[in-house]
Amino acid sequence: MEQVTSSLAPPRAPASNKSGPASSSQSGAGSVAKRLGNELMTLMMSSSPGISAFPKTDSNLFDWMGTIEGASGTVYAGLAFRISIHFPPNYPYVAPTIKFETPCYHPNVDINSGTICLDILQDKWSAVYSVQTILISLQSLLGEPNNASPLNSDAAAIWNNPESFKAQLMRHYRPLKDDSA
Amino acid sequence: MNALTYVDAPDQNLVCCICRMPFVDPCTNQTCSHTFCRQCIIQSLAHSPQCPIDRSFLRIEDIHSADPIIRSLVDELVVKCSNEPAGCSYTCQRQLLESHIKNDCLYVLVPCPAGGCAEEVLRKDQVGHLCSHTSVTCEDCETSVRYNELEMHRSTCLKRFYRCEDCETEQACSSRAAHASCCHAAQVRCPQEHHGCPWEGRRKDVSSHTTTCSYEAIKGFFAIQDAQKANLVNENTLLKQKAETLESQLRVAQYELRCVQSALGPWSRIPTSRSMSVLPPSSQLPTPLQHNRTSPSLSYMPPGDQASITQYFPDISFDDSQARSISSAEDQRVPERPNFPHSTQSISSRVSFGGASIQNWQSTGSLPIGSGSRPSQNVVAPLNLNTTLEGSLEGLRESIVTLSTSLDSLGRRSDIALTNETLRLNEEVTSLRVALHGLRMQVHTIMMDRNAQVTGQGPGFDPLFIQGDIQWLPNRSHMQNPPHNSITKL
Repeated sequence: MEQVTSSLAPPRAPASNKSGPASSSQSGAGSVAKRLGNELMTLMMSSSPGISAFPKTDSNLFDWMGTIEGASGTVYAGLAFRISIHFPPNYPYVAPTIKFETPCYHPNVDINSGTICLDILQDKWSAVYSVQTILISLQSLLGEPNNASPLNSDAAAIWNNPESFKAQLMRHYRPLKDDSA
Repeated sequence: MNALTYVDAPDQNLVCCICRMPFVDPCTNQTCSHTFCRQCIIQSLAHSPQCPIDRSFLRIEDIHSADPIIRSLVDELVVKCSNEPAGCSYTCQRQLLESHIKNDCLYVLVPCPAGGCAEEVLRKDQVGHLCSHTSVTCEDCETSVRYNELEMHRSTCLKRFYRCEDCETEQACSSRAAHASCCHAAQVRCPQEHHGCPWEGRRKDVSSHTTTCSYEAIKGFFAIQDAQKANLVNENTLLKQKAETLESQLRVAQYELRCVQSALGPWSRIPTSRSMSVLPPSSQLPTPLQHNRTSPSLSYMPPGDQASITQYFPDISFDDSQARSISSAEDQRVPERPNFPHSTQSISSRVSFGGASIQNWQSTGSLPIGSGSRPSQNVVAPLNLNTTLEGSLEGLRESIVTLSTSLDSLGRRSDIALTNETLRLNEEVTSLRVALHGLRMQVHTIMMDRNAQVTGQGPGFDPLFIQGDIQWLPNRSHMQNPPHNSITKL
């Protein structure tokens, strides 16, 4: 790729050769922004029920705010959770950092910090994953927790008792304020 | 190249799953036959040695260029020129873009054609455009100057001439300003123009005009006048400032005066000419005070205020002449006061009525003592509004002191009189008791005689006779009372 760029560039004066590495890093940041814009477009065009995500500000594409609604038929049905997504500069080769902003009582979510224990967000990350696939994974994680490696052991202990789990869930849950994420 | 903009939405089969754009230099894994951009899969393998799609183990040696048919499909996608933001609207197949940018695109930077210039210009500006680095030749002095410095050079070029409109001679551009100030044919006005000379003519005629100009003749006078006028203007400004300061001070003084007047009430008046001399020199200003200064005896208050003062002191007749006479001679004052409630006349009249109330007794008792000390019967000092407030207050204070001493002596005199009277009454009661006792003895003797007669005549008792005897008894006592009355009247 670098060879292609250099071959495409017109003959330059020797003084401007210094800007070569800088322009390549800029094109790297530009390709990440391009991919994030592509993902945002894909997410808005697709009709995935119960998931949405947008950049927090128009100026910074690397910080997003998303919403996940619990799937019907699970204890999380009817509840909505806000999550924050931060993309590293070398995305998509490195996974984004995702946290629950709304307190979520779940075996694989830390109730205080909102940290999520999900393999595809850590060692199983792949460059082909996107925001949409992450949100869908999280939505399914709500209904099907991995109780083998719990981050919230209390929640894992009462998972099999849906009534007491629901009571604990509702005790911690805070409804979303109706502002745009 | 991955930042290119594609004209049509690309076929999803030709999109790399890592960068989400059509393949650039596509490569296919030999192990799992997935295709990526070469740059994308190399970067991904740097993070983890596995295929991003199926997580199968993958090394960089397993990557080979994709089939020529895939390469052709992506190379023939129509893209916009990468200089589109700069203004190029050219679109072509992706594989042809390189030659377009290299040879044709007008919006790429190329070295400046002018020799010795290190800067770059857009290709479209290269031909037929006089950039700042182009050298041009001055048509007058035939020296080579830079294009952007040509205007500046023209104004200073030594070999460039212009035609003066006044003297119709050729003059160098570089000395245009100098020539304009000394051109003999230029239109100028008289040097005394600002004093009113209407003359206007060519500069060479000025000297002949000044010999006849009447304004020029009195030039010295004008100079003196101008200097004096400037002095007067300065002085006027100073005086204006001074007057403003004085006016503000006057306003403050007037306000303070009103405050003092309202505080003084009826005593507020213009001081006499003697006290006016105490006033500070600033009173030379035309203040309202000065109007009354010529007539110091005139009261500052309007007549209506005097009437209101008499309401405060209704018992005192407010007459200047009377007040003056009171203050001058104290002895004459008492007879002149008809309203004085404790005058000797009223006391004597009350005694002649002979009322039985205790108060009258006290007043009659005090009479022989009080009549001998008339000067101590001081009254409330009349309010003399012709004096100052201090004088009036002083007089009132003295009156109060006098009144308190009078009241004190009066109380003491009353005590003495009461004691005397009580003693006298005691004596009188004693004498009365003695007289009554003698009378009772007489009556007893008479009754005894009567009883002896009745018992001597018989046991019958005539009640009518006794009744008449009883009726008679008070008459007898009445007959003996006159001595008591005479004592009482003593």
